[in-house]
Amino acid sequence: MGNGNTLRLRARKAGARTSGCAGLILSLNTYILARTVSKTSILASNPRQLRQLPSSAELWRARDLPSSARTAQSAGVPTGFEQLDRLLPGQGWPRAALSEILCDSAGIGELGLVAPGLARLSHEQARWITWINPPFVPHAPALAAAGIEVGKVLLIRTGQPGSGGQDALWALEQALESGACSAVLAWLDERRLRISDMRRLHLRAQHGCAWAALFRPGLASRNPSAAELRLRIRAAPAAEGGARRLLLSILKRRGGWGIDELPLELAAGDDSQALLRLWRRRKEGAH
Amino acid sequence: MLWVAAHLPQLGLEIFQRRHPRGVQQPMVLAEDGRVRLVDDRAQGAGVAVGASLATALSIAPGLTHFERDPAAEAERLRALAAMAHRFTPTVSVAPPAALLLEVAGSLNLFEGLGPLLARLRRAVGRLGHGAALAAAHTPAAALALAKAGLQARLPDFPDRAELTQRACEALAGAPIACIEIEARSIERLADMGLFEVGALIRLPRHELGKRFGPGLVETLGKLTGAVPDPRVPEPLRERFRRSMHLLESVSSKQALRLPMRRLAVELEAWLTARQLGARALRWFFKPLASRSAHHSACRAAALPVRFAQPRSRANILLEISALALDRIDLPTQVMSLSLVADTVEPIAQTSSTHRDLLGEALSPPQCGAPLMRKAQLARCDAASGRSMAVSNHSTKGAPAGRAPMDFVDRVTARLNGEAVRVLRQVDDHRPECATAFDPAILPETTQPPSPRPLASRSASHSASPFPRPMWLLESPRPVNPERYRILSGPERLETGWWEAPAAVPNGLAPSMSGRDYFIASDAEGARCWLFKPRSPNPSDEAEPWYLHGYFA
Repeated sequence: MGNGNTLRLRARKAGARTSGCAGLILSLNTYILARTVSKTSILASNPRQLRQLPSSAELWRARDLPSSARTAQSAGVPTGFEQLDRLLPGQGWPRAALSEILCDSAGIGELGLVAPGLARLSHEQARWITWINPPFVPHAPALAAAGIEVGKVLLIRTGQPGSGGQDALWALEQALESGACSAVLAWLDERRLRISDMRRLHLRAQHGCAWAALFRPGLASRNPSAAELRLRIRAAPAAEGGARRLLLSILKRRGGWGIDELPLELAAGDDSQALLRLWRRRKEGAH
Repeated sequence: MLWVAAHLPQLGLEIFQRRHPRGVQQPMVLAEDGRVRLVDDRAQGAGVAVGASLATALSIAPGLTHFERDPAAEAERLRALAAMAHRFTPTVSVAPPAALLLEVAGSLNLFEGLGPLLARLRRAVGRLGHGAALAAAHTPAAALALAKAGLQARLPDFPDRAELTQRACEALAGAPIACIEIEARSIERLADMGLFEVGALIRLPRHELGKRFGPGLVETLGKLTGAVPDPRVPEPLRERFRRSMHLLESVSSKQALRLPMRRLAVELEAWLTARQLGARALRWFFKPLASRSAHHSACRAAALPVRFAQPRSRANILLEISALALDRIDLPTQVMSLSLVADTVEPIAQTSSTHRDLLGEALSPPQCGAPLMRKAQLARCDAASGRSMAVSNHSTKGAPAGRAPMDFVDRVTARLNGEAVRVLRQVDDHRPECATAFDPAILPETTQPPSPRPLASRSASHSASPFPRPMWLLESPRPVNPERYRILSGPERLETGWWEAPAAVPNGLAPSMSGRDYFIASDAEGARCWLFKPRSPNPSDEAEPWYLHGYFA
């Protein structure tokens, strides 16, 4: 019952800190389940109930999360990058949660980062991979080359930016909630995005079992977010002759601190070196 | 032969009730030639009797609403109901003024007996806004008489012929003579003779009855008992659904239109169900009172096409998706009539719930969610609270209850526009702007068995270029200054579509018609770009700008 005792101790400390108001916080997934002050105070004043708490499924303990006690239950979608998998809870992209990918300019590898995960999802599940208001047109041959089943890629464009902001958000919510999508990538209008929207999106993603990846500009890191996972990527200084690299920072993740500037090597597909070699070979063949 | 009669005593009033945008709240009577023909419950409560003059009725109940009887509308409505009743049996006929006759002997097995069939029929008629008195008997005339009298023979679920005849005759004996189809004068004369019930009349010797009342009465009695054949003309199936509704009051808000729209949608559902069809495309029409100035948009009739990604037949979803599309369009300020046309109908696919194998066992429903996910969710939520259990139940089915995957597509399509939702398809074309096609969304196939080959080596098309292709393509190429880019590799020469008219190439690309040299380059931010230089017909012409066509994201 060591757990129970420490827990009670913590609860008392918390109670003292919040000047009498019992502040025992139970966390279910990411949102807090401190339903009402009265309920928690009853819980705290009843030692027997409190003792049963550690075995309750509603209680999430921080030590459950790190990589040691991993079970297949919360397994994420493998990202295709081993270093990244090791850092993420569930060893991959969360399957039913909102995640954010912050990047400032297009073309630095934001799709290369998610493509292996999408490829896996597209083969694993008969659900759509929905792209909402992408900044450019997804190019089917490149997606296919990355292993993504093109027939499962659903493109939603909400048209005019005037009412487009709300429409895109609405479409995103529909996509997440419907349960018809295994992954949803969305580019929303930043000016209209509020924290309450983010929280709703996260709940919908959980409800519909969809990996929601929100692409946002780097400035968004200043604002709090309900996303379960927040990443920021930027292009690594190009190394001559080396493969293409990406510097990835984890701003927020479950069960761990943030990580700064993890270098990731992007998969081929845009491997200019391979192209160069091929080109040379052809040239030599011609001579 | 097992005949079921559905008598709709209030039909004359009900057709007006459903044409009112909100439903009539006052007591109502139906008048014909200045006399009250039908009264509703409220009018009856106020003391208005059938047969009273309209003036009397209005003086008794000042708040009375009265409608002039519309026999044409009643007949039309009966035919509409007959179309719905085709889901129970192919032999449906109309018995004017207010009844339907169904021959259901062949349908009993399907509907698991007479009792359940009658219950379903009552529900189906009720859903269209009518109250029906149902009765079953061995002849159409007997069933009709019983239904009019409000009597019902006590029948088992699968009656045999002798039992049916006997029970029906027993019940018929107590029916008033006014319920059978004979002249009003004869009814009066029979009443004078002290004959009020059908039983007493049937027992009289026919020959003498014929001498006094003419052969008509004898024939009617023969039809009642089955001694004389009573052929009924079955109502033909109508192949097109087109219903209009003229409202009794004009409607000026979209919200208020929901109720009349629901009524039409419910009728469409009944029509589709009878044919096992689903609608792929509908059109709603909203017409104003009168098009005085047809140029003014507020006075013009509006059409609202609605498309579905799969055939649909449920009124709720038809209506929900139509309502989303309705928000997008402008309506006449005063809508006076609306109509619904089913443009494209298709046989409905078997849904997972009706999918049974030969032995009657339900086949495993097509899986929407990932098997992995299901297990994970279930295991995670086993011990969890009730709420998260419910959530997991939703998601393990792939879609929450009542929300099929295609609902999402239809909903988004309806609210945005027809072009908003597209599925990608790879086209075998070397030109980048032609290599991606955008198709209407169809349901993704069930999970393919994972290929033994690693994903990376799988090239989707046999003609996949060995050259890398960018994941992002610009809608149309953007002129750029090449000095800002560092060329990493290239060139790769692609012919543009000089063999096609420029209009055939999407987005009006092709600044040069003679080919492009593509380069991979990186820009100052470290983005990997796909640039091209149009190959100019004149090699010395250096003024030709470079273009940015995509990003290797």
